[in-house]
Amino acid sequence: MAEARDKPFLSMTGISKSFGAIQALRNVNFQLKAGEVMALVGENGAGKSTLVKILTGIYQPDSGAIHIEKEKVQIRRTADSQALGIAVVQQERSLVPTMSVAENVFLGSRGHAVFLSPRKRQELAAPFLALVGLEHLDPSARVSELSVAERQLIEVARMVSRKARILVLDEPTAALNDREIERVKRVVRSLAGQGCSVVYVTHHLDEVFDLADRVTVFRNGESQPGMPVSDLGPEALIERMIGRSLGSMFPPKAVEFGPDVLSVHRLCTRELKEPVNLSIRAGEILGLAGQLGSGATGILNAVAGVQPISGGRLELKGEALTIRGRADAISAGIACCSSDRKKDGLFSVRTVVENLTAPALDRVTPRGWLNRRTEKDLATNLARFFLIDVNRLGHPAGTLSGGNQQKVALGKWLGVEPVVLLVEEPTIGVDVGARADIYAHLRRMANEGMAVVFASSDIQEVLGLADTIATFYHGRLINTYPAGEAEMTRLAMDVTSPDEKVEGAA
Amino acid sequence: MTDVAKTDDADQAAAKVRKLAVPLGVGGAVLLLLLIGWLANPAFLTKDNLLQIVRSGALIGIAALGTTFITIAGYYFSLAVQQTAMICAISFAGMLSLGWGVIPALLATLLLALALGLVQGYLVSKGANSIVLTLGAGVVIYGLAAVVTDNKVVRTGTDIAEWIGRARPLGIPTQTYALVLFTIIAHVVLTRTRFGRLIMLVGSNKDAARATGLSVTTATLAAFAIASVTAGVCGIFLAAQIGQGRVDQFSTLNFEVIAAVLVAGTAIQGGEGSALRTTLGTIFIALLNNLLLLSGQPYGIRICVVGFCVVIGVSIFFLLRRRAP
Repeated sequence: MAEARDKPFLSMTGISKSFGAIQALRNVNFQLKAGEVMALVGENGAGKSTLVKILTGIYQPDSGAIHIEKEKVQIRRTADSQALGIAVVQQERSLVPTMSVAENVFLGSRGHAVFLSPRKRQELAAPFLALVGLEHLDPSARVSELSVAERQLIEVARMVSRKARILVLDEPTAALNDREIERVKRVVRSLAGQGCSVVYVTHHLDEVFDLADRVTVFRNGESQPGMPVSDLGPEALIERMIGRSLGSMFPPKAVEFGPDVLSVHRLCTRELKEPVNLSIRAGEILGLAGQLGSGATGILNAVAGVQPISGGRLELKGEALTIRGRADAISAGIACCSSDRKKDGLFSVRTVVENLTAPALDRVTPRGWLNRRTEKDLATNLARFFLIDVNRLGHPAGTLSGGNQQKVALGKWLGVEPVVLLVEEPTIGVDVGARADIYAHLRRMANEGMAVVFASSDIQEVLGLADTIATFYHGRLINTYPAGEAEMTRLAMDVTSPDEKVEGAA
Repeated sequence: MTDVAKTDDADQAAAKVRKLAVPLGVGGAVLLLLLIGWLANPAFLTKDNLLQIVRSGALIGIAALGTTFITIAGYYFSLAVQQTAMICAISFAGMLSLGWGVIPALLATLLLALALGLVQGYLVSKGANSIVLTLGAGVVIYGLAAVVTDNKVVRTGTDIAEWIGRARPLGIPTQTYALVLFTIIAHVVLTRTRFGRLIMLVGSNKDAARATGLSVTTATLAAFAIASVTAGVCGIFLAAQIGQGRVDQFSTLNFEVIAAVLVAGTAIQGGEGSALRTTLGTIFIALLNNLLLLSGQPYGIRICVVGFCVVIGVSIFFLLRRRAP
């Protein structure tokens, strides 16, 4: 057993992959031993998902080689990957909600009888369901009736049913609660115990230390050699992930603040389990730290008028504010930049100029007629402020790099001179180089007197950028800290397992 | 550093070429057809024939200009164009036959078209699929017209409106003036007004438009209203020209309008498009039809060739866009 464990089972060497001008992976080496759990960690955009997609056959590497048990393999499409015994549980759910549990377990499997009676299929599915702890489920139930966690576990069962030798889990716990996370962990441990190699991609460092034998850190498209988890502490791991001191990445904090600009009193939203009180001053950057489902982004959406407010009241500059929709918020001077640029932040086929002036459309079209000079001046000013290439103003916004797209999505709001800027995940899909730029811009906007509120699942980002930090966990506000009093480990605990900390403190 | 500057320049040059490729391509195709026609048939490149071509294309062009707004707003196209034109022809002819004046009949008919457009626009803005909804609306309008007219021809019974359809000020048909006028208006609206910008942005990304505080409902209502009214104008012109309206008029207008919009490279997915290009597309198809007609091709061949051109055109534009970074 020990012998088998030491032999590299899967080996990816010299893997490079670029998308246009963006180098997603640069000469990456990745070794996986039989029966080990390998954690894959790194910031957003570090290259983890690209590596997983190469292993799945969705992307082809530009160069490099993949060996499985010393044999060189080519993974040209997902079928090749499946045939090699690689099974990937993707971030995006891929079950068919209208089909039964049993049907979903065998969805897309190869070498499987096409015509099976439902009863036979259910019998075949039962052991796989038992393996992931879902033996209580009725295999004929429709997937649409199941909880998110159960669906996630069925994804795992589905991959296991393919007799996978390598199981890849891409952030399997992002949408799960603690008890459900425990279940996933248990399944992973038992599969590893049976000799299956597991690649576990995650943002949760506690899972790394809890579950993994070794960890491979990705940074900016490059990999670091796999290290035994027992050799590392959380701080050493974080250092490896960001690869720099926090100081060079983030602008200096604010030294003084103006009066209160926005305050929320006993705010309730769909995601919040308890009412929340928060306030923010002019010139301040407030960071809401929390994982998916923590309720942090819901607060932004509620204040922006994107999501209904179910209770509580808002005050803007001391006056009561009612927000029924997006237009109310914008006319009150509340700008909101969502995390999903492609979905609702950018008009990709329209030019950068048109994108930059869209929120201020009334300003550039006095009496309904477009004033090209005003438009160009406004766009040029915004572009200069945000260091967007002025020569590219006439290009479709979708042709810019991720970082520049984010600058456009952020910068367009300056045209309406907002008093409050809400930003959801400010640097998602932005490469490391451009991040410092975005942070500097947010700080400049705050320095101009704006109140900036951002929500982020990236604790380093919150710690580095915010003047005041509020931590959220499962719909509750856990703590608020002035920047000087917050520290990494406390924040990390707040957003992943605050209850343990309370017990520990008591 | 110089390398970066160079690629940037090359980049911009390439972007310019791509930007010009579409109008140049369609313009080139029109010129090519003119050249072929001139070589193939002496009767083709005559003033009378050219005026005839533009006149035959004018009604399609006017309806296509309206439909361009729907396409740009991101709702593909309307499948109720021909039915709207038809019911407006019947309405106009019927009102005249009842002794209405030209102006009241004209305004009432345009109001009918506007109402039809607003209802469809409202339902689409509430989430109905534009293709399915306009398909249904077209069938309903057709059915209503058939019931009201009892499938009979509705004659104007008067020639007071005849000049609308038949006059030739300075030797050029009224329809041609109308096409030019509508093209200019549509072009100015799309490129120079707040509304034009709104409709482009909404068509490009509705979620982003909402998040930016732009009214998707306004753009949707207006796009469908404009398309419906231009279809109504078509109906009025034809009723005035032939002195009658009936349910089987305009039986191929839906396809012809879609062909005119698409063949000239307006993106079916919305957010892009131009009135000038739609008119150019209309003229291209009219030229092609005329050329085939002069060379004695039957209807089947003609429609086949036009359909083929649409497929080719759309494919080329698709490839051009995909190559753009």
